[in-house]
Amino acid sequence: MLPTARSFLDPKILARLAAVPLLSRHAMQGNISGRHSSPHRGSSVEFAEYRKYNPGDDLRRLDWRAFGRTDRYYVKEFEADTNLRCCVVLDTSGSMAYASKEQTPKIEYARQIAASMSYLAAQQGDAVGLTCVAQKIVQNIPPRRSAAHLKVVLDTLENTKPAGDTQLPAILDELAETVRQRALVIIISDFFVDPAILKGCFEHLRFRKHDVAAFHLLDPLEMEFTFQRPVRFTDMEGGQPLFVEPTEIADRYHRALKTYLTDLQRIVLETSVDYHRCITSEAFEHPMMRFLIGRTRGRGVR
Amino acid sequence: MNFIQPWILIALPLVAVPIIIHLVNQRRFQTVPWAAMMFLMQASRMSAGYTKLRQWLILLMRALAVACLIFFTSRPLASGLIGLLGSRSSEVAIVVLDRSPSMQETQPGTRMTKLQAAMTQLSSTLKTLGAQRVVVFDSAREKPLEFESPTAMVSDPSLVANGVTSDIPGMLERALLYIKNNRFGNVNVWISSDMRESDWRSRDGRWAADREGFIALPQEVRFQVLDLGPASTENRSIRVLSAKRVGGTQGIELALSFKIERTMGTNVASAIQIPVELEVGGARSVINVDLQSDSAEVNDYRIALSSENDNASLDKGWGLVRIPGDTNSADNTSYFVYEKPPARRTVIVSDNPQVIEAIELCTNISPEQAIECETETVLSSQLDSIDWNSVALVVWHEQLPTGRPLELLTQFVVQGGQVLLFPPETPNDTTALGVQWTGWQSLDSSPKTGSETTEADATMARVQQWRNDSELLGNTLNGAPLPVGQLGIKRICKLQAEGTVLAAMSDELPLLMRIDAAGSAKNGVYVCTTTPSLRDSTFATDGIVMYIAIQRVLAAGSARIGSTRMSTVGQPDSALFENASQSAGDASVLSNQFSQHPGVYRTNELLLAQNRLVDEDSSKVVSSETLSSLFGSLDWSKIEVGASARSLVQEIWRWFVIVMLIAMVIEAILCMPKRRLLNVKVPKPS
Repeated sequence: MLPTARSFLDPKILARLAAVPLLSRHAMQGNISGRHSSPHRGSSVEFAEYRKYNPGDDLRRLDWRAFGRTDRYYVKEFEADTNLRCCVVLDTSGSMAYASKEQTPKIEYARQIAASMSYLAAQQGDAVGLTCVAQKIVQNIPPRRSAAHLKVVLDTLENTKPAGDTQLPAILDELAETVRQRALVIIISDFFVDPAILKGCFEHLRFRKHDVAAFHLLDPLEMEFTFQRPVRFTDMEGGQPLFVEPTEIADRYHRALKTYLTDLQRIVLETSVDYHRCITSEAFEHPMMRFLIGRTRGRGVR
Repeated sequence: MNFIQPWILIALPLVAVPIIIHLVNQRRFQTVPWAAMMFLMQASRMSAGYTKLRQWLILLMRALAVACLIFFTSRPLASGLIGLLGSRSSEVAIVVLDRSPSMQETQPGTRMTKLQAAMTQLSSTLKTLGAQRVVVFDSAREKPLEFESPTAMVSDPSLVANGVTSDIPGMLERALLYIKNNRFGNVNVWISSDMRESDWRSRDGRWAADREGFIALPQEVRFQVLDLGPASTENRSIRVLSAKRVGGTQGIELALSFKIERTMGTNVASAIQIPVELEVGGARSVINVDLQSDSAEVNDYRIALSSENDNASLDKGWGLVRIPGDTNSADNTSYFVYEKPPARRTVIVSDNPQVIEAIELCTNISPEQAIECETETVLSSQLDSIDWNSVALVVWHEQLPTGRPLELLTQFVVQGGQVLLFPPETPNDTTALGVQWTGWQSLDSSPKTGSETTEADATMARVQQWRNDSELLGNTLNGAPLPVGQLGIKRICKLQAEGTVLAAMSDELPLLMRIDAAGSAKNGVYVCTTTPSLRDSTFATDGIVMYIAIQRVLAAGSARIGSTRMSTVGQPDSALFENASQSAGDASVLSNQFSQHPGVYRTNELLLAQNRLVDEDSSKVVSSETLSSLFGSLDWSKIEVGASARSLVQEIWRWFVIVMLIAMVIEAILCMPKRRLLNVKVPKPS
């Protein structure tokens, strides 16, 4: 059941996305039974291994047939399924307000992804948290699994305004430490940060055994840079403006962008980040569907 | 490089338009909030080498395209001296055209004659320069030919090559008069010639008058001399020197003398044998003439005349000599006529028996057996009774004529007759034929000329100077001088006259003069300032000089007698050809142009053979130094052109269009968006 109707949530899209479960790529440590694999043995129907009986073990878990065959006591163990903690990290810096003509602003696009992801997680019983970051952590909602908590998350998303500089790397490092281990960390940002610095952050998150997913938002005009007349570019994050003759600088801009994207691609592969580049002219449903389907293939790793 | 419409070049500053647009465009920037500043910062820190170069190249190509457009519109001409005319072209072009026989020479590799090449080149050049009207002066006619367009000039049948030697100073004189009579702006005078001295007549006194006349014109006149160049290959020419009807061993014969000359151009002279075709009244024969050097002469080659041939009667006929064709077909044929020589009749007007006797001795003795000589002595009052058509020479030894006798004598001179004036015993102040006697002067002392001098000769003066190069006192055929210096002169009659002194006692005392002709009169009046009387001179006792001089005058005078005549093209009065028919020559010549072409023509009274001028066979050309002195301070230039149909000036606007297109294509290529570096597919908005 949806709470109040919101502009960034489309029930039809959510219905389509809900057909594919949101799965983690690694074992999660939840506190209740869920749909995700756990590093611990549990009571699911999936057989895990035989273990020698130790005094104090529950006698009901003794495998009598094995005792009959081997004249030794074995305990039969099963895999455990648990829920996950989904931490959505939303970049709310000034650059996220950018939108070229007739395109969706990046912050709006990010809201749609974050809200849909939160809804899907909550629907399957996972805990959802939200962290809005700019120069610092603007808003931090720890992961919980109640429906009322989802409303809080959605309200926060609705009220989020992009502003200020980006200090994403520092905040990611901070979140790596503060979020309990084995969580699904979904970062939604334009990642206008040096890829070398990002690499450290991703490695830190991975070190903490988080399943890191990144949605990289880019505007079509940022990709194409099709300006013709001279332009005075003002920095949306408060930096110095820059006067540019686009026809002169276009090829160098593209060269810099290509280098950046190539480096980022290499880093996400090295750090095993589930990376998805989202051009805002594309419907957000598509990258999300790619994200969900991609995860179904990696299920079972514990 | 020059331009037909140079005023369009005023628009050249428009070349800066692309740069100005570029600068203005830089001012019209827009402000855009931008997120991906990090890429812009990185891009601005990168090296902009090629990009800067590309931008400069784009600007350069745009400026070049504009410049080419302006140049193309101003109609540029190919560089060269003649290109200077482009910016000074006028609607009227005056062409002084050399149509002389030497202009019929063809150049190797082309069948065009120099004249055809000159006309074609001039036509296309004047068309390019925008000439609306072409005025052509040539030697064949007094009035210029006017054409509405340059192309009409080429196809005009009256401008074909003829046999008249050009008179460039004369043509320029007429061009000057034409310019004076018509109000033109700047005038371009095109002189098309092969620079033969015979056409340019660089020593002619009219050059100075022409020069001064053109300088005095209010408008600017520029001369463009198109030099079609001397012969570059071997050319041979033939010319009849004389054709005499003589009695020989086989009856009546024709004694024919002709000369073959060749100009070698760049070739080396070698001995060759030339077959010469002789045609006398339709009967042809060929003789081979060895040509060892530059010329060969055949003298008195005898051809038997037969009365059986209708065309070659014994008394009168015509013929031609011809050599095989070469680069110039105009000098390969020469025509002649012959006839039984008429009697040389002399009329002596004198009452002095001593003088009459001396002169009769000179006039009655014929130098050749076949020539009869007659002399008639009359008084001035009896002149009306003389048959003037048969008279070759009048020797006048009376008071200068007045009234009717003067009228008859003047008419005789105009018709080609010769008059020799001797001073009367008591001269009066009458002036006739440009001569006035002023009185006798005794020459009582003079230097002795040798030990043989007798006592009687002691008081006689000797002739101090005489012209032995031509005319009456010229050397004999074998080069020996006449013994003029042995003549003794006791007294002479002073006179007032203008003419050429042939012999003189001193600078102030002429002995023999030729009076310069005035108007249409021929140069047929000679004046001797003493008489053959023993009291005055030793002309009678040392008679050889007087005999030869009088026979030479007689020979010149007898040329008007008889029914055949050999002359050069352009010499006879064109009225003579009014009812003429052509017996030999170029069959394509129009009847009204007979006087301009070599050939044999028959009129009611005459059988006339006319050939090109002797000077036409001379390859002497006017040097650049001579040309400079002829034009002096006039604005002139010389262009050496080949005998091809290529225009002298060429519009090269096509090159500018091509360069403009190339510049635009390069600019388009440079402006073309570069291949995308990113392989990111940007989806369309959903």
